[in-house]
Amino acid sequence: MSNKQNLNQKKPSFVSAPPKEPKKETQPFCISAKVQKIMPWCYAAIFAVIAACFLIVKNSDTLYMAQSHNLFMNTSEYFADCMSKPGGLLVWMGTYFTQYFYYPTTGASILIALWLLIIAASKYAFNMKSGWTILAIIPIAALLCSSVCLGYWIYYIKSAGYFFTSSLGLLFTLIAVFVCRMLCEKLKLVWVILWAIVAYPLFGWFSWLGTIYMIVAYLVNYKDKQMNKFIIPIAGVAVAILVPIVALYFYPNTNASLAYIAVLPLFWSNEDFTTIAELPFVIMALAPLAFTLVSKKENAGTDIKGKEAYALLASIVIVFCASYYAADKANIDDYNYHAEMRMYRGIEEQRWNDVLTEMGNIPGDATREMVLFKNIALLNTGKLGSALFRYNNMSAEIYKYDSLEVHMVQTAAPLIYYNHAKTNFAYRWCIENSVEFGYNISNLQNLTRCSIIAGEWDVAKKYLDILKTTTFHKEWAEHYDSLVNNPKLMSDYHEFDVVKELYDHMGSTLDGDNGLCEMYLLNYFSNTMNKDSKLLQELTLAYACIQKDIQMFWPRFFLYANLHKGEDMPIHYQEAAFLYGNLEPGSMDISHMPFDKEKVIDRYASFQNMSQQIMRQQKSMTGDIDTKKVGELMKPTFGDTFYWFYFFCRDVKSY
Amino acid sequence: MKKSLSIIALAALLAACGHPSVPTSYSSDNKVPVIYPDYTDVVVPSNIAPLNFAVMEQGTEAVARFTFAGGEYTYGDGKKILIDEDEWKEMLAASKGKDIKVDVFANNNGKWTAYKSFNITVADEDIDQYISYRLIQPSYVAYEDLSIQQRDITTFEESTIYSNLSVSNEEEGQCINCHSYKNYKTDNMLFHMRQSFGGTMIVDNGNVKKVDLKTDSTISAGVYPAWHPTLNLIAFSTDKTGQSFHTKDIAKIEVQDTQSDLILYDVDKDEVSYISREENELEIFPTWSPDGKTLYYGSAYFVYTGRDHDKPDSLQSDTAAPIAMETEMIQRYKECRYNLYKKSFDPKTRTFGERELVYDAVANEKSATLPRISPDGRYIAFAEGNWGCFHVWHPEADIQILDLKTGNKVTTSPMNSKRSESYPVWSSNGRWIIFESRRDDGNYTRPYIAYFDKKGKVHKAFAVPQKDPSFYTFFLRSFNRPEFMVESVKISPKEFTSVAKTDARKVTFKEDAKK
Repeated sequence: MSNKQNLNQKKPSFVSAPPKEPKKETQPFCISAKVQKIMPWCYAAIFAVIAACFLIVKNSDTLYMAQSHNLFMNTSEYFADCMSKPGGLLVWMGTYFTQYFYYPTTGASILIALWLLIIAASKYAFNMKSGWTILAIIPIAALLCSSVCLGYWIYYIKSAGYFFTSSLGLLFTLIAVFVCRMLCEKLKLVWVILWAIVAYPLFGWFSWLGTIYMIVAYLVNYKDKQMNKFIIPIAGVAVAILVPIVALYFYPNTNASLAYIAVLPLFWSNEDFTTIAELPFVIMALAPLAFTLVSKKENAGTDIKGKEAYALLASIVIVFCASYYAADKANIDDYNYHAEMRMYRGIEEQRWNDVLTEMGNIPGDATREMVLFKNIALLNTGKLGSALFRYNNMSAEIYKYDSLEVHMVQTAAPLIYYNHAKTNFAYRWCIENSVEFGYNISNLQNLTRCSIIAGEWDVAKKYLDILKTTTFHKEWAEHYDSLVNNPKLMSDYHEFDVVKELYDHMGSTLDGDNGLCEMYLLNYFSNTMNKDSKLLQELTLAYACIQKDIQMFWPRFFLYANLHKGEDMPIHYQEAAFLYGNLEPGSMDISHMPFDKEKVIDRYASFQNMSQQIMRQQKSMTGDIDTKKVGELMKPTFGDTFYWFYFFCRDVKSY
Repeated sequence: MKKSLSIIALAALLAACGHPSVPTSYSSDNKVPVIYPDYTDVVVPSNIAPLNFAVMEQGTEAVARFTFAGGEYTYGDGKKILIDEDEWKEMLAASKGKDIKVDVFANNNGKWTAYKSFNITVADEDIDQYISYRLIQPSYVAYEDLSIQQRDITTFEESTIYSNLSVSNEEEGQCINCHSYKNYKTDNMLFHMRQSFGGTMIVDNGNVKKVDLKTDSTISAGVYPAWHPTLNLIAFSTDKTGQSFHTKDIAKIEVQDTQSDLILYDVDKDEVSYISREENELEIFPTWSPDGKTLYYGSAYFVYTGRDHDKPDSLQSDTAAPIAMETEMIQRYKECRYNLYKKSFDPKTRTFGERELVYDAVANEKSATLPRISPDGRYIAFAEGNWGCFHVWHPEADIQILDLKTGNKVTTSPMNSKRSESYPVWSSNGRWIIFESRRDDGNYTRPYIAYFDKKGKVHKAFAVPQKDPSFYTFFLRSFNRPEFMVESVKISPKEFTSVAKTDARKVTFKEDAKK
């Protein structure tokens, strides 16, 4: 303005040289109010794309698993149960929305929509300049990270409704801050106190978080006059501190040490606390405090100019780059972690060929859980003897980023035991895991299946009644209604055929698995003999092969041969018999056995030749033989044989 | 206009709160309707909470008409029959010693069916106002959320006595169990806590203390307790307990004691001494006679051989190391059977007499546990199964009652089912027995109450009523150790929590008594 006025004061002179062109002052870089208005929409759109990429494209299987490890019952008892702990409303709402991950795109869209609402709520709660709503991306980026960084914690986290509770909590908190901003001083005081009291039972730790936001916003924008500056802060802090303490009298099931962090997800494992997984929630909680720095000031222009504009542009770039980088770093992209979940679902839905395809596609070694899933699929497709060793049976380590100890009994044992007809053990681990981590859909379905197989119709009906109160598993439950009301219909439900046959032919004894599912199954079945069920007998023979126990193998092999007279002997059983006959010629005369010349006899000869050749080479080069290396070199040619499995599949680490 | 709207609104409100009308046209079905919980033809106390139930017949709607001496009421809310508490009290008061007749109508696709009437008989006698129980998932090894609850069974009020979550955290959990009261009153009571902040919480004349009952001379801390009815003494069993899992049997779990004895804890002196530690005997579940002069308990004769019973005789070796007691017990679990015994007790000298056999269950290839003496001292109720001590997992287990005067068994079939029944407890007036039953689904334990009339006859048992009749369906925890109380627990959960966090006072072992 002042420059303009100076120019106007200068008048042209006739005596002097023609006036020079006035120096044009460079206009500062300015982001107009008009442009700013559309900026939050742009932020929202860009973030939505990033979030969709991580949630829907990269984590659909995780989201589906999240809903199957969730339980929302549409009953008043469930609501009352949630409300019996501080923050109950968040848990109730969180578990409700988690159901929508049944369709991962739908659930993810709801979650993203909530995050976009958080942007809007942040803007209004802190009266942020539109352009600076870029900062509102920070807490939701943290929430995105929290959604993709779970890893195996998905089986262990005890925070029901994990994916939604924090987003909902933050949204409600910001709305409360907005309401506070709109009130006059005296009503502000009432609101801050009311919020701290009412919000605790509903939203847990967000009650004091909201109080802090309100106080900070109040202090930053304090301009008056009507009340001492410190009345609201002191009253707010006092009430926020007192409420959880007083609430302990009403919540006898709440530990005083956890009272201030009710509903905050905690990552405890084996007495270790995982700080890194907690970080997103810390960032989420702290970020809104920065919003007060960019709130609109009275009488200030609406344009953002100069340094501020550059700072804003830089912030936009930094926030989005950092968000993407953080989400990418946080995201668990371990192939086996995701493949396990796809295979788990495949087993649940009895899509056996999909399970086998998944197993065939793994780029490296498989986890033990995947190996067992593959065995189940082979059992159900009748390919145990012909394909058991065609797949990679080597052990890959479970992906870990902290001290969490993953045990199969807590991830997939109920489903694995059930499919091996060890229904009591499946039932046990369903209950154990439900006791520790809460009942969920997957466990209830497994409990139902086990109860049906064991003929415990009344308890099956109970579980079905519970599943009928859910949104997306009602149909599954109704499918079994007529069966539990009329058990004679069992033969019409072919999904139980294989398990039922195994179950009917197994004996009962007192036993225990010591928490090792795979070892128990291998020991149990390889030590079993059954002449009445071809299916059970095949499983015992297959598992005897896996045990690599020659004495255990022969009686099961001959029993198999007797039960399958006139049928072709599957290739792996031939391989095992031929190998054992050659390794211990004294133990069994195999000269009369009609082995497949090309696939068994010649291949074994090639196997021997190749192995000796490699070993000779190794010895001549290094003076030593590295069996592991030999195995690796032979794997492309013989990795689909029992021979290779017998000699080179070592160091199986069950967990 | 405003006025008429108000009248319409009021009328609508009254209609919503009012009693449904019984259908005028219906077809009749000559069978008693299936209702849940099953309250057909039961005898109930004159102060019990409303017996709300759901009609399990086909249809979408049901109405029940309750006809009693003072008139009739009708109820219906979908298929649920939810009785107004004040009206129920009115019905009970008017029907003492008489029947309330219940007619149920169900609407299936617009067609009403009237079922055969059934009666709810109201006994002359009241029931103790409170019960307490532990809520626990039917768990195996893991536990997380356990609480001891108290319920006013004349209403639907329930509150927490103590919850382990008040002290448990992710680092270390706490198991709670075995709540017990002195003579149905709560000024003297106890419960155990194990692992985190472990110890036994003793309420001694209203004061809470925490003690550690484990001594170097005893197998374990006190386990199954029994307060002496008049003295500040508590009999406990001390047990080394293990569990193993059935691979197929629907019993699922076998809980076994490999060692157990009985001890006496003097609350005033914080001293324990042996009551019984006989060789080759597994003593368990002590209970006092109402006069406090006799201690009853279960005991199994079990001799450990050290032999591996899974091996055929041909493979046995004399030089082989003996197998562990736990392993042998698992191998021979069906051989472990308990009889009921008693020992006289002299309250003055605090000495026990020789043991006497009360009930020979083993002779019938049965196992009797959890004895409780009726308040008049005449009857002993207990749980009986085929073997073992933990009958909650044994589907064949039933409640039995022995007349100590005649030695005859009372017919208890009306209170039993084809599924597990255990843990019988007499009410303070001896007219009611509360017990655990898995009759609903075989897996989740529910509290049932049976009337035991003056003539010593047992009547059909009924589930402790809940406000919502579908409560038991959706509730995924078991009701464990139901106990009667004549008053509520006065110590607050917060107070228990404060004491729970303190160190337990170590008790001393009284050597003389050991000898």
